[in-house]
Amino acid sequence: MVKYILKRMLYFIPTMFIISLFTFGLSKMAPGDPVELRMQGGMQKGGGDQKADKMSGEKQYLAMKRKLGMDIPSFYFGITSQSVPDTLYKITRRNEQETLLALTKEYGNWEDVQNYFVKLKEFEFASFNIEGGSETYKGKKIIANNYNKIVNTNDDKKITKFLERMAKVIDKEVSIEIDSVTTKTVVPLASIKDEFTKLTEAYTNVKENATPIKNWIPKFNWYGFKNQYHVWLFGNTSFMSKDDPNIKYGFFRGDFGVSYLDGRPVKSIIWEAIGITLKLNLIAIFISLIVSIPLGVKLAKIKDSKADRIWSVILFILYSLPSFWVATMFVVYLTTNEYGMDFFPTYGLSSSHITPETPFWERFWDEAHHLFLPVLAMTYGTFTYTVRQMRGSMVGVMKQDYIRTAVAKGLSEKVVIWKHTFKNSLLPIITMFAGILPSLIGGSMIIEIIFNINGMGRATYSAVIARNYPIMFTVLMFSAILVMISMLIVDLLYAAVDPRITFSNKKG
Amino acid sequence: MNLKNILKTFLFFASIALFTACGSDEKTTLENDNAPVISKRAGINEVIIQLNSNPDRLNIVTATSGVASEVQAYIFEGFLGRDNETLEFLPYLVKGRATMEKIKIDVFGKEQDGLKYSYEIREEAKWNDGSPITGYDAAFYLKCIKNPKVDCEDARPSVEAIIDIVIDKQNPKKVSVFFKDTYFKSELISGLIVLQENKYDPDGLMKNFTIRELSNPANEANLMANTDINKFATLFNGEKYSRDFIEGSGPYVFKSWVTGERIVLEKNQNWWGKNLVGKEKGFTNYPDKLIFEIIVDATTAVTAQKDEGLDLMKHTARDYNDLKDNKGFLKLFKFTLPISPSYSYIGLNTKSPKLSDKRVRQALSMAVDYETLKRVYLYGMAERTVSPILPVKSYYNNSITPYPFDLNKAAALLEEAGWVDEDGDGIREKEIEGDDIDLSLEFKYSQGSDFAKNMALVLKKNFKQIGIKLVISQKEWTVFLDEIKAHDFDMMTLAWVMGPSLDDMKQIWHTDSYNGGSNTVGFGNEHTDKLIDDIRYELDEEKRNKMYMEIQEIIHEEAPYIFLFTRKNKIAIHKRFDNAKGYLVRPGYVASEFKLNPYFGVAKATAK
Repeated sequence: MVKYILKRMLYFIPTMFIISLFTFGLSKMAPGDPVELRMQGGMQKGGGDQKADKMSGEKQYLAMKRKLGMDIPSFYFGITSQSVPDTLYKITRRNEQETLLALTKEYGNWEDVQNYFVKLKEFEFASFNIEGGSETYKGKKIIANNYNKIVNTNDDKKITKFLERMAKVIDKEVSIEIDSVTTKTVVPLASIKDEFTKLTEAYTNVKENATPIKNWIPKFNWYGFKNQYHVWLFGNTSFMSKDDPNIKYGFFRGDFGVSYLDGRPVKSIIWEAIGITLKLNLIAIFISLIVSIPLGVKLAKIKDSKADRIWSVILFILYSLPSFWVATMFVVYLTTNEYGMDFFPTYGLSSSHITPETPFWERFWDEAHHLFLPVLAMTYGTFTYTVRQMRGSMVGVMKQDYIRTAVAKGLSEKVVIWKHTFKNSLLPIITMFAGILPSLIGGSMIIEIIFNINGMGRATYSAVIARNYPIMFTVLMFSAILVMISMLIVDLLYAAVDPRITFSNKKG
Repeated sequence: MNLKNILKTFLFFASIALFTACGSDEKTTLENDNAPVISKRAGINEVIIQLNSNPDRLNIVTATSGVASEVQAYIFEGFLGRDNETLEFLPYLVKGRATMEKIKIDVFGKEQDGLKYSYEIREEAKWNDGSPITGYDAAFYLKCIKNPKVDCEDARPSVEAIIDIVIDKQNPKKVSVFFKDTYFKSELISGLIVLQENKYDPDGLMKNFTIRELSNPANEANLMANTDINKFATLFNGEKYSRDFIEGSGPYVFKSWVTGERIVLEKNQNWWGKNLVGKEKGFTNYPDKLIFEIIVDATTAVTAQKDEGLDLMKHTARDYNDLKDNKGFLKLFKFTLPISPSYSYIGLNTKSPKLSDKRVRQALSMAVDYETLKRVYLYGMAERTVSPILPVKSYYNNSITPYPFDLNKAAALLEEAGWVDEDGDGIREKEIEGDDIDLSLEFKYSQGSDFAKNMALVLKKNFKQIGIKLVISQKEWTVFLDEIKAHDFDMMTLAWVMGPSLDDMKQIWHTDSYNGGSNTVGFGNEHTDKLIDDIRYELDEEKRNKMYMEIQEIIHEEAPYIFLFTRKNKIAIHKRFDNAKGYLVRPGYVASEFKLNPYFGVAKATAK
């Protein structure tokens, strides 16, 4: 038995890793730039000129990227082609990264592509330094717009077109007239001519030195332990130091990260929410079981009678009422005086006058009063399933020979039902239990939102909406762990209830 | 088992009763219109306010959410306040508004034009522990923002222009704030908030840094690696200063915060300003307690207010439409409907070949059925706007005539611009670069906006009548943002929120903001750019207003936006409070002004 448990727990480890890989991988594939999202659309604020705005915008972007821990490679290794460099992640902006990757994939020569990119940036900064004024205004705009298009494309035709356009503007002569007499002609954008020539050369190099063959040779890049996945699971430090806000300890050392939204440790957010959800769910499950198990047994006893049929109809009606609707009806009709039925509080878990200093029993009753409707809304739908399961399995067992024998032996009905039949019909209920345990921390999203209860359901929901990955990761991982544990418990319970099931390697 | 049977039967009938109860509302609600109003909350001098989401933090430097500032407004104080009616600055912590001087200032080795704002903090201004509020507390607030490791990436750029603070050695209540440029909103930025240094930085970690040091870009790498900077940031970003220790000098003190449930503020018994209440504008502390209830679900919140669980709540247009005829509700609550400082618009991509002609954009502006949209989908709770400037501001251009809803005129304009339906398929076309192009436009909006969805359908119908095909496309928010920024749209809809202070139009209307900024529609030319830049550095109000007028006129003429509506806030406030007014300035109300009427809602028998 112990050996079996240990073996099962060993299986946990690879399963966990596979799940973590999937979660992490999916989060990386989601569209949209998470850094920009956090920066509220990446708007540039403040005074200053164009260059200063751009610089401060880039600085802000980089700082946010660093804060989210996204300035390092995603994973331990990457398999790419020979042509793709292992340092691509160092390019700050996601769109620029994509363009460079596409270019490299097309021409297969990273060195030249890199040089082209550097020249592009130098060109952009040079263009910021062009003197303002009406002679340069138009040219500056054309350059800025075409630059912005070049940065986002790898299509040779387009790039050539944009470069040609820029060349035209740069070489354009403007005559300065005083009193309609041309005094001199100038080339207003001459100051960036050098950078532009270098840029065109760099691009020609990219095309001329193309080595597409490199695209077909695979390359294995090892990034080491300083990657996002590793930091998430194991942290980025071996010692415990508290002085640097960028230190992370990793999932397995109990550091679940920091919520993107409010900068709070995920641990304390989840800890707070889980207490509330556990309270709600434990009460709900308890009530559900103490109502449905006896009812199921009873219905099995009076199988096919009129009462049995009526109960079935009632139970199925309950089952078919969606809980979001019933919960809303509860809130609308039973919590205000509008319809003369102000029996319960409208929302939350406590009244606004309750403080930690309030006497215990007052707090207890206040909370019980608040919990009544949410718990009711959570349980009524579960009755049907449990009752039907219990009833069905009881009926099955009652047909067995040994029950007939027990009755024939003259045992009392109570003993036959509870000792002989009931114990043997528990297997389906135990299976059901496996599904309940993970949902203990999952919480009931709808009920929590409608009754304004700040439990796991609501926390998870808002994390998904806001793409708050640290919270999503943690909830997912814990659900996975709980599913595995509950499966194990269920298997063990099977053995405890049914002696025919055993995990020891007995032979014969 | 019998008990359970009874319970089940009860449940069954209860649910049937609920079914039937749905049909008959209203009638059951009113017994007698003339019956005296009895309120559960009569005589209780505390205001319960709904927040529709949990604040991210309450730290005055690091919090970014709007709901956080709704709460912080009662706890923290700054140099300047604002007159909610005239939108003018009021001296708050200081004796008077700043004296401004144009100066030459040394910006890390380079002399530049700059500004100096000087303040003197009031004699009586004190922290809750009795120590005086001085210029050092304002400097400390600034140091927190300028610490490069503190979580305030959003706020840091706005104070970048402040490069020094000088505090008078003899009288630390005298402060001068130095700016490295002559930006026109500098007075607003100079109105610093105060934070008590010995409470937020007991170890004096930031003491040895000066504002000048923290502002110098050359120091950045050193600062990032500095242990004191890191230590302070770790503490300051941490849970303690984000959620537990929230202390300012304001009229209310922070008591408790249960995440996702409630935040409680109590009247500050040691508030230095309590003697000014009723004497000076901006100083109020009438309610004993302010309780913020965090309720996310709108239905739950409305029900809670019907049950008098909320004294103040902002309603949706639809709920307002129901509640405004609910006599039971109106006995206890009254609505105030201030304009919300934002506007919605349809952006037209001026760089798209189909929309590059301003006549086409004007035609589209005339093909929007503003009245129907407002009446049907906003329940009349909105006002049409024609300019990016709030109508209450002194430089709002009154002379602009809004585009009428006139399909004939729109069709004529399209015709004039060369868009004609020649092949008779009901869609106009035009030859552009040797190709016949149909006037088919893509309208993008973000998921989750019901108004946008409904509007799209109305637009589609009206556009069809004048030979334009509208293709509606709904996008997920991040994808929507990406595409808008890449100018990948013909038409799209969004809204802008505006502040009560001077408008800096650069972010939305300058051509510099076309690549990477918010000028997604590609508005602007050399002249408008110059106007916008000049406004930013013009300190003379009259000259500035003239330029504001001109740019509004150009925007109207060029029609890069179809300006839609500014909405009204629908705030329901419990009637036991007098003096409960609605304001334009966010969040639309000031709870500390509410004065309890002790006789409201008290049953007659007990009133004796």
